[in-house]
Amino acid sequence: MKPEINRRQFFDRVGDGLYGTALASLLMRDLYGAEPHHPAALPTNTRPRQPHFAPKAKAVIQFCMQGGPSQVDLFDPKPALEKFHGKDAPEEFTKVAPAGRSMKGQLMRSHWKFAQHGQGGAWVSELLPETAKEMDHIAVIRSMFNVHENHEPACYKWQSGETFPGHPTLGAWVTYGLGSVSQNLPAYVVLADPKNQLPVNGVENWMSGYLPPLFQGTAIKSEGTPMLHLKADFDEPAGVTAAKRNLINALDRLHKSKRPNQPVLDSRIANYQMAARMQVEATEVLDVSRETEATRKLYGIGEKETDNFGKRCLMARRLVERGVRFVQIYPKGQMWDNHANLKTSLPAACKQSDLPTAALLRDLRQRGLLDDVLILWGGEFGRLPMAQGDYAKAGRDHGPSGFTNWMAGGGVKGGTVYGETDDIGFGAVKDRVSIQDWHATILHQLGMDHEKLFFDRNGLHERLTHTHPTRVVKEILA
Amino acid sequence: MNLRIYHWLSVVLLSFSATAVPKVTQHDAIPVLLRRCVICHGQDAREGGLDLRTKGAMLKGKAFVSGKPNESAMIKRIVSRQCPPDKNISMAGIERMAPRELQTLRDWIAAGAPEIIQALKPIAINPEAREHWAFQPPKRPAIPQIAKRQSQIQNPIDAFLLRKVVANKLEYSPEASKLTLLRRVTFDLTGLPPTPAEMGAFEKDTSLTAFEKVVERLLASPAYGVRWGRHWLDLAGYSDSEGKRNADMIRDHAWKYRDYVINAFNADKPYNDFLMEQIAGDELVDYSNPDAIDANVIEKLVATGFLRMAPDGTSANPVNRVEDRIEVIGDELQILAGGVMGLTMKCARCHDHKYDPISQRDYYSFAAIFKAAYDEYNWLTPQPFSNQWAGSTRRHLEVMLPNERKAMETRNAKLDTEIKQLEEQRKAEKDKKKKTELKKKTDELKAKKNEQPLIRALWDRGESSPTYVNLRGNLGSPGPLVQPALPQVFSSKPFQPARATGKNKTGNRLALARWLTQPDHPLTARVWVNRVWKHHFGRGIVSSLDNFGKLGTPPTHPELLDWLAVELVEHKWSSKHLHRLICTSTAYRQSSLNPQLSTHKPSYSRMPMRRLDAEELHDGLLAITGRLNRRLGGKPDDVQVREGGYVTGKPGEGGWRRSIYIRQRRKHMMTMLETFDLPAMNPNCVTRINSTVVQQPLFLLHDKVVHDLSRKLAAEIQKEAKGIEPVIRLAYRKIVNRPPSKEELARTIGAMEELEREFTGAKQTGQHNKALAAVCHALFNSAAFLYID
Repeated sequence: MKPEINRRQFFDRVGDGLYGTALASLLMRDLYGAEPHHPAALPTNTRPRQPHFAPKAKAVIQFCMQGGPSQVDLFDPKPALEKFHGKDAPEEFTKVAPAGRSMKGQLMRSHWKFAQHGQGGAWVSELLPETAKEMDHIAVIRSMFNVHENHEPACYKWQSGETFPGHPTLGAWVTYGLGSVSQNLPAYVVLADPKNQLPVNGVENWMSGYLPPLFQGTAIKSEGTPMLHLKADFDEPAGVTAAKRNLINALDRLHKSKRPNQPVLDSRIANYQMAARMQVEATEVLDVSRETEATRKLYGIGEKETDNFGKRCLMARRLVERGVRFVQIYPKGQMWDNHANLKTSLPAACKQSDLPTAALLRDLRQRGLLDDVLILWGGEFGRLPMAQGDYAKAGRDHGPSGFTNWMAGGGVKGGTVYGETDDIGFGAVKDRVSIQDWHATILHQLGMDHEKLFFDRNGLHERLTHTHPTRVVKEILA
Repeated sequence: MNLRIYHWLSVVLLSFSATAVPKVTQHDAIPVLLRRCVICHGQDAREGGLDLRTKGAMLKGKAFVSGKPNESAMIKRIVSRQCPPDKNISMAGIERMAPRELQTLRDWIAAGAPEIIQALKPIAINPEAREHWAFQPPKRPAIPQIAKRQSQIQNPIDAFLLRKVVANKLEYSPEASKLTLLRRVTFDLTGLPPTPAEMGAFEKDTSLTAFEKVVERLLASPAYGVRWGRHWLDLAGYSDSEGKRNADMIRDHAWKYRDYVINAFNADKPYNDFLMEQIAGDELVDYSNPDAIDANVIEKLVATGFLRMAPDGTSANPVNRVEDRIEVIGDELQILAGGVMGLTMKCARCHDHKYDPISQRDYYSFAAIFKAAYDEYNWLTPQPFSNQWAGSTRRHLEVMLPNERKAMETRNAKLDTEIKQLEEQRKAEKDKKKKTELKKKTDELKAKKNEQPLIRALWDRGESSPTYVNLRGNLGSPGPLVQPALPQVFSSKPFQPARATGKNKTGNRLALARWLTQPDHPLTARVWVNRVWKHHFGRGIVSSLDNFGKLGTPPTHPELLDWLAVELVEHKWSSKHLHRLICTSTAYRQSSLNPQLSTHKPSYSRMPMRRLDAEELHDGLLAITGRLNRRLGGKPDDVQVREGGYVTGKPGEGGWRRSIYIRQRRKHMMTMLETFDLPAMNPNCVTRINSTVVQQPLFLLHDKVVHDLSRKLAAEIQKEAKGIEPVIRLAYRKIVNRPPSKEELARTIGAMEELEREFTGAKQTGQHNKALAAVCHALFNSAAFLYID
């Protein structure tokens, strides 16, 4: 039986520390609390709540492979490129491009060998040997398409469903829809590269748009102070901090006692306590030295090339284990944006991320958690099959008309290869999957109907999929 | 088949019988040309002297040979890809003509370029829909007579409220304590806390009108305009940046509009004039003669900045496509319709409104009113940008006062001489290092020369492109041609442009503004009094502030709403008159403490408690700690992004100013303000969210600025009082604007002693000061400070 608790009691219990204890793995428990799903707009807190129907996944880890990984060099081999190598693309292929886009450059074959992997025989390039071993757990979508060819609008679309800022991102919708189990950690955590600039669009990749700021992603640095203001920006003796907190607590309780019917004052007190616990837990959760040597090695931590990315992958596992609902992992800068020197820049990007990515899948699986966590991999678009620049140093330009993303875990049918691009890998032609189809499929795995998850904004029911025609891609689901 | 989907239902074709309707008409061809060609061959840019907006102009320019598409210059150029020129495709945000569109043109020319006269059938409005309460003019209702409660009725507001309170078997709560009331009304009207001196004066004043005097003092204070201007700027979506793009370009001259709004509130500009100027200020004045420019002309032009506030990425490519421009126009129309008229019109962009009697044709007819100023096919870009099309023009007016102009000319002449000298010097200079230095100096002078007092305005340009309905909101599916008109639910009479001041103006927006500010307009006054009410009582009489339509929330007190609306109009649309009535009512003076009442069922039998909003917190912290620079107006102070994405203000001349004077960017908002729910303006903010999230305590506990301000305040307090109890009492008075209760005092004294011991234990000097600073810091973190009773 699920315990019935109201808001007051909840916060009182938070205060008592009942829900404050760091549990070994919150993910193993029922993540959805007792609150029924509201037919109306949802409350603005992050308490766990019921989805629309039984979910397959309870948490999401999104590999934000921003920049545009080249599908024809990674997951979508195109023998025809051998034939057309060095030639202009026949017009029959480029007609799916948005009107007016000029397609310059000659076609260029891939520099790398492909082989089939897993039961489903998915093609993977030699650049991703570790991911290749996981293909039995991965569903590849080779027919994704985006509506814009520039990073900024394409990223807005990919993250929030529209090509401009102001709309909530997928992670914000998910935490709005489901709340979070951990009340000691932010519901939606972003792990960006601590050593490099934020990715294109910066914080707008995890914005809450018109949803309350509570649902915005919290960027946690994997080095140094994890979060803005998690610790004091000034020096103070520990005893002073404690005495000050005690005073705030005492004064707030006196204040509240005269205003018994003001629940917001209760949540305020709970928040101060959560702030204190978060200081401890956020520091602890990001401390990967608490993991065994073997686990760290699995992620390539300590190795020059994989250390940076590997740490964030391992942190992501520690976060979802503790009940964080949505985690985004960003790579180093725009490492997939291979406009030049594809021959060296793409292998470098793969080298950094391939092992840690596969390690996260393996680690979650070994712990029995992969079924509960939906893993998303992919960028805002892919790349053109044409060469950009002189062939010797050629790269590839942005290709929004057809590209590859993959999903794993969380009720996804491993070993699936879905959709097709045309013969040269320029545009998606069969079983096309739009960004909103992709969004709706993710919500579906979390037990939510994209048409029912809405926010009442000035009388309008705003949705992640807006009014675009949308379908759940059931073919990739178990 | 995108053609002819619409007209069987709504269009009567006059010049042909139904059987002889040509398959393709000018209404199929012209929209294609609008989308693809008129950027170079239209109203302003007329390359090769060619205008492609009408058949007549096309023939004059020999654009086509009737009946012979293959011999038509227009078709030949498109087919050979001479048009549009390759470089313009990326620069001007245009796209190549799709094969289907080219076929439409060919078909039209082949058929002899037939033209039809299209007459639209009037839109049938369901008479029941017209009867919706918010579409009826407000009438002054009778004031209810409430037996036995005469002493509680300060003005008719109380009579209307008490009737329902009593009917619900409730009573008003007792009056709040004097200091509670002072804190409440001071924050409400000025966004700042009361000073200890103001507290003392009010406590001493035992006259019956003591509180009325306070209200008058606050309404007369310039801080009032800052506070209430901010509310309006939320509605308008005021921002000092363009938004839409990662770069979030700075929007340089927007602050003038911010100052216009703040000044208007301080001057109690009648609301009807305030609206009129913001919607059609350019049509109220003649600004064609540079020598006849006066402050009034400038003010009216600055006011039109209201409709220039939406996020707008169209400075740069590739987000200057027609679709992107339509988004900007759509945002502006929604800001106006929602904020001023309480109507959701946005949905009618793609289909008839599902609940309110607003059809898709209404939407496009309404947009046509703005077309001479907001024309997606003759676009003014927000600002210069590196990859812009050479033909683009800016939306800034170089209108300035004659003396300003003269001063600028003199300054520029002087600068020109200096620049010339420096450039000659540079030519002669051999030393590379010195050469670079000279170049730097020259650039600085050139930048100075570019500093012109421009106005980011909206102005009528005398004519516009035609407006077609976009079926399903789709630009590629033109429906019927429409003319400027008000939504038919309000008036089926033909739209009459007003007579604008100055030449070459359509008078369309002026006519709209006149209609909106009619004394008996069903929505204008109601929507505004409701908003004023919300900012005093925490929720509107209609709680959906910008939706008075069928899906909006019905008014809790419809008669009170109407009474206030009529009262506003009859008192020269004075907002200050509304504040006086509201703030001096018994309802407003009630205590918020009644423990019997749940917050879940709001009633007017107690005042709601509320948290300080972002600006009140920021400005309050500075005011209390004596660090607030009260200078009004002018260019905003900059923000700086520090490590880890921490955004703070960068105090300008004279130190920290109120938060509205710190650059309002859509992207880099000050961390403190954002943490306490300052919204990003995308496009505007109808109602602020008031969240209680863990980032708030983390910020107030750990931020260095808050900590430092506490220390500074402690130092001030030590100068004014001696001894542990007196300093604590003073800290309470300054921070929470009341004396501590007995328990609070005891706890705080205990804590202060403990804190002193801790500092001593940590071998720190100045422990007395530091302990007091820690107490102040704790008080800034307390609910007593953050919430207003």
